[in-house]
Amino acid sequence: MNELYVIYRYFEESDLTSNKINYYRVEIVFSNSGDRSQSPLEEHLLKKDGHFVFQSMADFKESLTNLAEKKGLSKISYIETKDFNLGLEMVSNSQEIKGLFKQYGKVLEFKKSGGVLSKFFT
Amino acid sequence: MNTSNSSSSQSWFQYWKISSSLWETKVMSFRHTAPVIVPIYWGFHERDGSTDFGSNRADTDLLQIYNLCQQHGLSLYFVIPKSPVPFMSNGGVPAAHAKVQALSQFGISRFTFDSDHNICRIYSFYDPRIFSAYTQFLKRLHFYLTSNGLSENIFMGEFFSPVGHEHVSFLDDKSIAFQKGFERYKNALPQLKDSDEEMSRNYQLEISSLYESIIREQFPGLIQGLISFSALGSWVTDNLLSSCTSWKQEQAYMEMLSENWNSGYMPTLTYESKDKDSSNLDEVLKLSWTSINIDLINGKSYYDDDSGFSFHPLSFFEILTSNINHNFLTFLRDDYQGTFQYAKKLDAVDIAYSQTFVSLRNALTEKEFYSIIKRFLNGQKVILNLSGLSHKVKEIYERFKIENDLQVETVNYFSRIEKMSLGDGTLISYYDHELDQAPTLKKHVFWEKMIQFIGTNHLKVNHDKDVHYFWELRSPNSYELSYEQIRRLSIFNSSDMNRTVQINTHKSFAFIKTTNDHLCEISTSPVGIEIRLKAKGRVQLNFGYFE
Repeated sequence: MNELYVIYRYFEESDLTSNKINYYRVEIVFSNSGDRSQSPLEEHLLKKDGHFVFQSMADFKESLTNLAEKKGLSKISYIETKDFNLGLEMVSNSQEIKGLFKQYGKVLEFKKSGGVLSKFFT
Repeated sequence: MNTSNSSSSQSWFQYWKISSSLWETKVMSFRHTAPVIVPIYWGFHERDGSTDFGSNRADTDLLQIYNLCQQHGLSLYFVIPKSPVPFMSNGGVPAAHAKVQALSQFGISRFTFDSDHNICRIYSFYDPRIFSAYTQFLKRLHFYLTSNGLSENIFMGEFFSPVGHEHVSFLDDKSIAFQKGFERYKNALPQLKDSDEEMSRNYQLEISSLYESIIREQFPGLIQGLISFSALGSWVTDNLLSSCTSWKQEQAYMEMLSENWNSGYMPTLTYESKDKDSSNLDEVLKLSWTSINIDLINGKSYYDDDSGFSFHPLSFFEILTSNINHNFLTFLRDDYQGTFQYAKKLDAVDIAYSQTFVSLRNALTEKEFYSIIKRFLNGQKVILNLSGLSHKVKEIYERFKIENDLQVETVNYFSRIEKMSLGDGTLISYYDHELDQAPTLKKHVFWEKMIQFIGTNHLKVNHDKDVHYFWELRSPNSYELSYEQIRRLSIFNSSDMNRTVQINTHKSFAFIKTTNDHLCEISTSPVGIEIRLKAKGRVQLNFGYFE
């Protein structure tokens, strides 16, 4: 597993005292090798009420960056469900689905520290 | 239209995909072992406000398809959808009515792919405009079919996505149309005792039965039954994975087929596998797409029919449960893979006496309890969980034993077990909660003993990872009279590596022959049979079973 794709949803709810509570919830995770389990997240992130929940986008991004470092991922693409649905309107073929992450979502790329040979040649 | 293997292993006739001038060639490609299934595509017949059944466009002429099938001696079933159809554009809804997209539980619009990998967007059946327009279409369809003498084999069809051991209907939808309807439904309810989730499930069931009743109403006395189709790879996450080049699609689909074999759903592949060699997938679909299996899914019972010389899925157990992860099911998935079914209705008319009825439920109404007892009195083997039953039901059970003067054998083995017989019937009761604290291995042993107790004999298949197998059954023919049954084991290696399978010798089974072997080597010894399957290899083994 080298690349991870994350689909998240933004929630805006009100509590009993009409205070607004905003959060981001991970809905679907899959890797480019076709693994759809959330196990890579489970090892490194905390679940709340059975879901991976983040209070802010900054928290979410930071967690993804930490995850990439720990798992040695080269890329994490993430997209909000609304943007995904909007993008889905524009595509017509199964091959175009992954492109939605790039076009309508965000991509975090991580440089791997190269081995001895790569250091020598660079 | 894609004409590669998997479309011929299934007998869908997607008439909108090919010109009517080529229909005859397509009809001739169908096998005679299964009826040709013609799903009615509402959106194809209804365009620009008018409905067409061949008067303007020849490609909408259902009578011509029927005549071609008759000419070539093929039977034909018309399937009227009661849910969105995953392989039709807009799920089958005409463009003019496709307004609100169905939304999955993840907040993503529901979509699938057709046979050419084009995206099919699914539209919400909770939109009242769709319901009323569909009702009008059904009226016109009824008039067309009956006035052309095509009212013989009309079925309803509901489409589902396999998700692990469960199936999610294409009526499962969280769209705004669903939410609005659900709010109205909640407000109309006098009490709000149930959770929101439970009420939402009930609302979905209500709408599902509303579509069913409107179809039955428009086709009075003509609907032969309901066929549930399991569309492989149509779940939200599967759709996303299909865009990943290194996803082992065939392996995933074989896993889905193996998990849902005998589940009462007709497996269907809505688009071609991207794997180059998907012949194993086609072979499994061929096993499923037979007349006898379609009839079984439609609720008919062939298990006790001596004239059944065609193979059909083998099932030892009919299980009543509300927990698909119950330890008995885990045990069966390990040792009796694919040889059980979930009970659809308790007061079944066609009771399969060769199957053991297992009630794992912790709550039974008096009516349900009587239905189970009736099965025992009619000669079926029954395993009954007594945990959690109401005082009244337990009283009925105790009274039943005394009134019928039953000889009860009692054993304490992890739980208090009672066994009684009456004629051919056997009833074994136990307390499920007494197994709760037992370790998995002990639960496994408990169920192994229970199965021995009821006298179920089966061959154990020891296999490597990525090997999938399916059991079928048929009656012996005149050359096989020394056997009570012929059981066929189909084994497939879905991986790109060599794999091994071992089957130990059993005193009640005789190995007869192998068929359909491909990339496989078999060696037999007094201990058993060893099968070495190369990558994508497969084989079928026939065994004679005698008591």
